[in-house]
Amino acid sequence: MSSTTENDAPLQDWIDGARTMTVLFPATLPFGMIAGLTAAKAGFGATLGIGHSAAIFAGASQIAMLQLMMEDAAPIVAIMTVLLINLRFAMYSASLSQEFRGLSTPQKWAAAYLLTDQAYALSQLRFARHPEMTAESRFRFFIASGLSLWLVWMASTALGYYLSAGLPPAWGLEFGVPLTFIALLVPGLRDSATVVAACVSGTIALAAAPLPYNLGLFTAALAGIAAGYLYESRIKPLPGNEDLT
Amino acid sequence: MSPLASWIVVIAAGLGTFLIRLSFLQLADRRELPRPFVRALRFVPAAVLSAIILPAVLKLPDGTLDYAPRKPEDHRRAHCRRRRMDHEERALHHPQWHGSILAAQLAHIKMDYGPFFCLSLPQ
Repeated sequence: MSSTTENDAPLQDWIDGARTMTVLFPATLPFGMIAGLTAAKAGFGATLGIGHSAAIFAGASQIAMLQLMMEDAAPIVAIMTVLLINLRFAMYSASLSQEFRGLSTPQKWAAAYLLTDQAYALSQLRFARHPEMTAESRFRFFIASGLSLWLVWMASTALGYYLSAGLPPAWGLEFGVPLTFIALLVPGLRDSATVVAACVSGTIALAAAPLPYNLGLFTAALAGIAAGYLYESRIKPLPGNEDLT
Repeated sequence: MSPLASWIVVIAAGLGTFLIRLSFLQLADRRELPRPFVRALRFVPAAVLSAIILPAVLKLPDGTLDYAPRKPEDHRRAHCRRRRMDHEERALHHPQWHGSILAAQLAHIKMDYGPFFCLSLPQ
């Protein structure tokens, strides 16, 4: 805590993490408001209506859960739907585990709680650009971006909850969400193998869209990953990877 | 659903989601992940994001997908029609959307904003 050079780098990680996430705030705010106003329409009290955003912290699954609850679906169906939609986080978890090797258990728990599409994708872009980052440094960047998104998510849920009566549905609050994902996808398409993965996955996601409970997404993602992997192994190996099949 | 049941659903869903997120983070240090598995992880962001975006962008209010090529003006008109529909009513009347509510939430996409938004990302 004495020399400034020791403190500069950690502080910079926190600042960079939070600052990078700010570009996604405009798209997150309306999405969080939808979660809040859907919770109000589902008849949730303020604690649960806003608190469910902290408990789950995954917008698409929250809204799906609330819709099911409004229709008096069985509780187990609502729970399983949330878990199926959020199964993709297992893939993110596996991917981040390679970056976060050697971190303490509390650090891993904090990172797991703050793991979202946005924080994951932004961090992957950052880590790919700065391979010299240490696990601790990566952790600080990730937590800063995740925490700033969490604050916006909670504030926007509360805003949506309390404004629910006054918000006309015709506002189309949800239009920003796919833009977020497009903005996260495009910078990550750095070589032909990732493009193959994205194309195969997108095509299969379209074909499998009628499947219930986001199973299409999961199937498509697995197929896309397999396609990228096979393309890289068999057709266009990266330099230095020729020995791998 | 009763208030108690609502609390149970939210807590169970939250706990389950946390465990999914924690899964590999917690396990990876104790057990070496197979090398092909680690190599495949590189494709996770592109594959998952692409699988979220494409159906969301092309989904129509009746739950079918908008594959057919159209003239630009037709597309714009269909798009305006889509925006005017009450999204919530649509979601309730189309059970096939319940499993992919993200897509349901995203029915009114402005694809033309995409490139502009990308430009605002830091390099």
